[in-house]
Amino acid sequence: MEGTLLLYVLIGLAVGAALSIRDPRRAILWLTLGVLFWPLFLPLLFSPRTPAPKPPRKDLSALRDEVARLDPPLPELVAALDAADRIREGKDELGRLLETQQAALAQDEPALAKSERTREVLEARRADLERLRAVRDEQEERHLRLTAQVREAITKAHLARFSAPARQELRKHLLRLSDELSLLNPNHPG
Amino acid sequence: MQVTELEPTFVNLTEMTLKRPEDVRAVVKDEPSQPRAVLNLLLLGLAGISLYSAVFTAIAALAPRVDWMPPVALADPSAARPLLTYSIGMVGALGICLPSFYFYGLLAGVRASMLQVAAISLHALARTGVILMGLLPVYVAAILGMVVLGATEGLAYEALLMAGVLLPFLAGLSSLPVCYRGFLDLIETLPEARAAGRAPMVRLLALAWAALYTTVAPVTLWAVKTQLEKIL
Repeated sequence: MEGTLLLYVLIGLAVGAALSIRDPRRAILWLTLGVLFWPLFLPLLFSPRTPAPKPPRKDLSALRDEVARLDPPLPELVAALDAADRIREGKDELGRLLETQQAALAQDEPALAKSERTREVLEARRADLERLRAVRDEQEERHLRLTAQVREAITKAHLARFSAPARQELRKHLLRLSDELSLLNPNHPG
Repeated sequence: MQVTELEPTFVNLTEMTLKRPEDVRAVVKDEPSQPRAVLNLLLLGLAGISLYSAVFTAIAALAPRVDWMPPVALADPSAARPLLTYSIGMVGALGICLPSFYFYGLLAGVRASMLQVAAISLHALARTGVILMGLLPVYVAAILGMVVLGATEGLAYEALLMAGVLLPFLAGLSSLPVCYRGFLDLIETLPEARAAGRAPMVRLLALAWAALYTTVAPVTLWAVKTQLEKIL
């Protein structure tokens, strides 16, 4: 039993030390808890220290290549990808704005919460943040929907070479896509 | 909701566990917050369990003894036994069960990391701690009442002491819905068609967790107690 205990403590020391190095501000806490309860903290060691950077978005350029290879060419898909690009740019911009506003609000919150008048300002700013978040989520959803529709259209375009019903299905799909694009951009010819 | 209130600090997590469990679940799901959440949820759980076991130790030492309960004296190191047994045993049992919880999750088709499973389990432990802190005044009042009324000879007194021994354990089981909800949240990340099929599996998963923890926790508590008796 002593041997097992020694092994447990040794592993605990290693885990505790590793966690202390990761977060030196709470080194003593990590070391103490790490030695005692290292099985719970072991997964922490294998998790990334900071959120992994998002992989570069290759999906749209890959999709563009696929669309360009289609024969006959389908201009609706090119227009849809352009629209998806614009939506993504807008969404990224909103994301950045949201982060800045959130950080600013977190900083101002204690001061704004002090009096009745400033609390109103605080509530208004929170409501603005909520609205921003909702618009960003909506844009994200729209972007996903558009790219999914383009992917679906590419598959249908390949199938359309083999059967008449598949060609009809593709036509319907492109009509639906055009409708959606004209909703997003009234200048769209569809 | 204040933005700063969602930070996984000890105070915020205590408040969230008490008032807004859905916010704890949101924090647990958020990968960058998980390391701090894991640490503070563990501290919260430990605080509740330690407080309960410290008070229970005092009760065991000062209240009239019953035959089946090991003797505890506040003046010697044996007083640390119940405290350490519950604190180390309850968290230790979780540590032992954790890999199984993770693999059960994978079997149920849930896309969860080990850290996420640890965070969900520790949310349940934190809730256990909070429940124990809530029950503590009621339990102390009941024991004090029996002592003051001199009803320490009957079966009711023994049953109350036995309830005190089992309470951390029962509180642990009552936190099971937390695990269930935590896994349901993970299932919601799956595509709709698959999520619907996986929901019954999560119920089975929660049941499997309960069965495993129910088996492992008493054994761990017993093992820790036996070892502490040798040391203290």
